[in-house]
Amino acid sequence: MKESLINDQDLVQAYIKGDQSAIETLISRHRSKVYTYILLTIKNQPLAEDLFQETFIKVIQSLRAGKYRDNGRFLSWVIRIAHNLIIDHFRKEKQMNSVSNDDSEVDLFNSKKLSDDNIEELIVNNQIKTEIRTLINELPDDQKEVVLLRHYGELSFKEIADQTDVSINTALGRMRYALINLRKLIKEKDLSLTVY
Amino acid sequence: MVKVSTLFFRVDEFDDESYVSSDIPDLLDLKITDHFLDNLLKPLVYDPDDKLVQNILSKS
Repeated sequence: MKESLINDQDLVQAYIKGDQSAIETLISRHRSKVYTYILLTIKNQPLAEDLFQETFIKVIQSLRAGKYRDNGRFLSWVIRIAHNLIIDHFRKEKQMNSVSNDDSEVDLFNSKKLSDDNIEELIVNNQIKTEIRTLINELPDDQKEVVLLRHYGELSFKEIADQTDVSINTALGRMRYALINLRKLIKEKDLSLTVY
Repeated sequence: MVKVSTLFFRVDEFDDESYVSSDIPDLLDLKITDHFLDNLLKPLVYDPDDKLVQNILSKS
């Protein structure tokens, strides 16, 4: 059977039973969403790379330790681990009283997929990415957090509420205001966000 | 009395969340929400370097 047809649940079980290739497939399947979530949240590429590795190493350790409850929501579980690691990082940073959130620009030409495109499309796509990233970064942190957890982590609002320690109504409210603000920003900036 | 939210003081022109109440679930259509986010954020995907993945796998 093709790997792409095997669901996450079965791959997790295969890995637990000793199939090393199963974890490779899982990482390959979700790497972009997990990495993008981390990168957009912390806005620092070197740190995002560290936390991305840390996330999957923790995922592997947890799977081996039998800590994963199989509910068919592997990606949401991984994103929750990433989210917790990000929080831990900011807590440590706060304790050390050092601010390293340099908001460094993402290397937009780092994408393997984009490097295969022609240069004009590359520039247009990167411009669109920059515009969308700017929009997201203009949201208040609480609203941005809900948007990223929902889209990249595919978390339910109950899970988002648990993860961010608020009620479901508050999580839903934050999303509602995020959408209002995003629509407002798109209109104000007169953006056309079409990818070629 | 005018209520002023201090929660999101960084961006003054944004709507605040001081009106969040139990009627919100009725006001947020999840299908439309996810559709909007999919359309908006679909292009915004970054791929990590293969070396990072290899590094993870070598430690696993």
